Amino acid sequence: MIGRYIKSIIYSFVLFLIFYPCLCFAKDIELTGKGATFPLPFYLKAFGHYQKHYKTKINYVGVGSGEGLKALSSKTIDFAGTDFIRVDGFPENINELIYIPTCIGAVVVIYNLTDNPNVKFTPEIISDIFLGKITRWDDPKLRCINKDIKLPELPITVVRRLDRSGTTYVFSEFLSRHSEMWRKNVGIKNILTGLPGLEAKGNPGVAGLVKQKSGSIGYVELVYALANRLPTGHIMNRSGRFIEPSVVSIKKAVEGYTQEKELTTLIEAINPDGYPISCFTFIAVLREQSYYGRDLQRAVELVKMLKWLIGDGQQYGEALHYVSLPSNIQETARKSLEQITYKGNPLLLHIK
Amino acid sequence: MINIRNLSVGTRLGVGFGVLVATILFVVVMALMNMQFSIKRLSNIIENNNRKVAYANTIDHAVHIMNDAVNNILQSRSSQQWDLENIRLLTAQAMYDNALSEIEKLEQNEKGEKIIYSLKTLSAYIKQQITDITILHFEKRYALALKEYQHSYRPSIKHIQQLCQELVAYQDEASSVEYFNALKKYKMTLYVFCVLALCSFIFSIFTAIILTRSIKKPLEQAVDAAKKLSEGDYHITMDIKGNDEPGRLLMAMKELAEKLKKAKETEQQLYESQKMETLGRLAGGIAHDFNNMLSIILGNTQLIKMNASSFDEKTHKRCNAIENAVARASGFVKQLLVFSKKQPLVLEKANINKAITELYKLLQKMIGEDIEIKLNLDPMLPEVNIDVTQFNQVLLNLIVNARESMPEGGTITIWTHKEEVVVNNGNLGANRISGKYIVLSVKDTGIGIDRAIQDKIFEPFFTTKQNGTGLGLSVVYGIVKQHGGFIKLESEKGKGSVFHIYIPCVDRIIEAKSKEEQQESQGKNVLGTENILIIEDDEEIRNLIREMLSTQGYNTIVANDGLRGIEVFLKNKDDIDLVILDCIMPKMNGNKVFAEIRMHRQDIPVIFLTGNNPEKIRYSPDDDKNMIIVQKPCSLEMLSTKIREMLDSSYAFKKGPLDENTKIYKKGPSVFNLRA
Repeated sequence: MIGRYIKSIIYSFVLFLIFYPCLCFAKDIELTGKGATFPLPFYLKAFGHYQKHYKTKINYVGVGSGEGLKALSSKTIDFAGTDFIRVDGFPENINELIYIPTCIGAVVVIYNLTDNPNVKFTPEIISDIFLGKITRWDDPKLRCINKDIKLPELPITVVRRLDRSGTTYVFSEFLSRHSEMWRKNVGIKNILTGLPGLEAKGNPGVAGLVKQKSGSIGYVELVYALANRLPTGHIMNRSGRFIEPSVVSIKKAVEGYTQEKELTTLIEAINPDGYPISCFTFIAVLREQSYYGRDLQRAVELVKMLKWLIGDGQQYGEALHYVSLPSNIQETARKSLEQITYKGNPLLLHIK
Repeated sequence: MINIRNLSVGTRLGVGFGVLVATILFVVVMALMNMQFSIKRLSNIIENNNRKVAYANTIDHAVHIMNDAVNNILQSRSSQQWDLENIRLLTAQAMYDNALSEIEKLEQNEKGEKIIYSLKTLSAYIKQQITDITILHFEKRYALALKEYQHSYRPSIKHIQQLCQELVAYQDEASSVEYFNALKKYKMTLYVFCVLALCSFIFSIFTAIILTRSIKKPLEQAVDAAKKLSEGDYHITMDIKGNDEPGRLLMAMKELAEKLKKAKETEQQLYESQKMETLGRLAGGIAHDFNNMLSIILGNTQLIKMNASSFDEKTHKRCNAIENAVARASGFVKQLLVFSKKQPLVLEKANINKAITELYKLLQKMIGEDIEIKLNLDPMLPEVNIDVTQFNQVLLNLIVNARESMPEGGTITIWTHKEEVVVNNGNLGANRISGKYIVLSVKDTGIGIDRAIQDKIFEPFFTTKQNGTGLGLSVVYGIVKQHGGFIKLESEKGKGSVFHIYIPCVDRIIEAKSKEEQQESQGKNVLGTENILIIEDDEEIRNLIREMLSTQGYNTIVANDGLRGIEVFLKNKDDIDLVILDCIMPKMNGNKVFAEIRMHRQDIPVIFLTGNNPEKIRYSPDDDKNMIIVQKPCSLEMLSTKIREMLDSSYAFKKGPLDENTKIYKKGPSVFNLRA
């Protein structure tokens, strides 16, 4: 008698073990991602809509590109948001990571001056300001190109990113291209150290600090400037024109962009009306998804979400002053998605 | 403890000033550093406070933005507006978090941390509320969203604002407390430094005093010593502690003083010996003349006695009294001669011990019963060359002296020993010579000799006794000197005196001649062998002169008046070498006789004898070099000397041959026939 009970218990336990994964399969999946604050508003909006439609919850925390990639390389998250591809400090991951462009934004120079004047900047002047060579708003160099406005007699307080950041990377890449001084002293870096000024975490941090401090200057994604009603600097492009950052000028910049062998972050405007510091932002995932005990469904859900993001998800960017990926880049992104595998099998095939 | 006097003055001053400067520098540097530190601390406090307040304001500001953004969302129906307000919310949240984390870094106080903790929890809570409200709003459940906003979001925001105000207020309070603490500490350290400065000041003064004293003290000593030296006081006591410059100066001064002292002593000794020498010569001269006079007195007294044999007894008695007095005077003169070392020594090898023992028997009888004589003689004493008689005189005089110094009785101790004397004062110590000596010491327990008169007791006629002659110790001195020795005196007033007589061991006795030589020279009292004519009417004088000249080796021929004299002269005119001529004579006076002699011989020396009236002589030694006038009464000694002088000068005039041995000028064979 007792033996039969025990037997039935054992059977039922075995059955439970067999069917448990199936039960789990049916459960809602929650994807986690960390990284860049550059596309944070876009992602938050897009993922919100995605959750509404597909019931898959996606947690994205804006901690900075560097921190995101670090978390991904330690395989504790599903994806990382980043604004740079070439990673300093993660050489072993170069071939393991796949970068998918998600949208286009612009790094803008914001400042806190009364009456929000539109100040013009050349790359050299920006370089001088961030290197501490120009310390006052009424510096002759600045006044020379801003004859139409009255610059206040204020010291300049530089605000930079404290964390390893894609925004910084793009900003420094742009300055390196146009300023000899910057190239020699700083180069292309995702973190700026040993320079004068204040530091803040993430794009919101920089925007907040600039908003707070009179006479300060910083660099953020366009939408942060607009949302916080901060003035943006007009920056001289290759054609020598001072361009105000906006969706239009970014689009102009993207129009002239031709993809090289590999995707670069910074998009340098060829169009004379293009804003010079436009850039892609990416989501990085691991090429092989069967890591850290992840199941197939999670991997499939991730790819599914990414496919949606580069396709239908693009519409949510425009409202936040981001620019959608042009079709050729969307194609490139799709090709990148094809490379994601689970135990060697490409995952995109599983998705209708 | 280190004796700083061992360091040179330069080093001392250097080290002293170095330490001083170092101390001052130390205090100044410490004070400056402390001030810097305090200022830094104060400014840190102020800065921290300012920063904290600024961050609290940022939080307040961020909350304000959040509230505004949420308000906007609730009022708006546009999704684009919502998106932008969302970003504002994000920014505000970032500001909030940033400020909170910064303030957390700065906060160290428990109360502050509590507030920060509350703010942190509220931050998370408010984020959740914002998410809830926005979701409700997006889902178009506007009423619910508004309700949520009013009932939980607004109170939370108000709570945060209140907390921020609290934080600011608390910060102000805490920082003022900290500021006062820091100020208190600053004042305290200021006080400490004041004390330190005072200490270093005292230390500096102390150092300065020590240094000054260490230099000044020996210099003062040196000045004192120099003053003493300049006043002629060579007894300098100096406290030489270190070998620094003043120390060396003192050392040099001490050496100088010692050298001066020695030189002075030597000078004194030299002076003493010279004084004694002079006194001796003086005494000797006087004694000699005195002796001559005595001999005339004695001679004449004897003549009177001879002539008076026919007279009465009275004259005889008086003559005897004169003779006695002359004998006493003669003894006195003898003693003087001994002092002046004119007494010839009769040296023989003798043992002093023996001499003392022999004399001792005699002494015991001579000296009173209340005086004891102790002998302590060195049996190994070598023999020395001494004049035993003289030596006995020395011993006797010393013992008499000792006895006289002990009127109440006492002990006289006599001892002998051998001693090696080293005289190291070079040429200055004229009266002492290094070498082996035998020492005779006579010690008494008498009244002693005052230090002031110690160097005078050997002078002749110096006496402290009422009826002393003052010659006893002079005689001792003379004899010892003649023996080539010296005397050392140790005496203390009231305790007695010791006389050490040093007699040299070797046969090195100054001016001493051997016994034989002495005897020989005594026998040979010959002054000349010339022929002398004496023309004198006074028979007594004529005989006296004649006797004297005969004993001195001269040949004499006499004449009792002028005519007779001319007669004798003419008979022997070529043989007579000198004429002694009385001035006043019967029949033919001296002037006539002299003229007669000069007629026959120009070169013959003539001695005019005259009484009280030399003006009666018509001739003068100024006109005639070969004549002199001698006034009567004259000593025979002087006459003899004059005769010799006259003869010698006449020989020198004639350039006669000189006999090397006798130093007497010879004038051919002495053929002298008396044709009186």
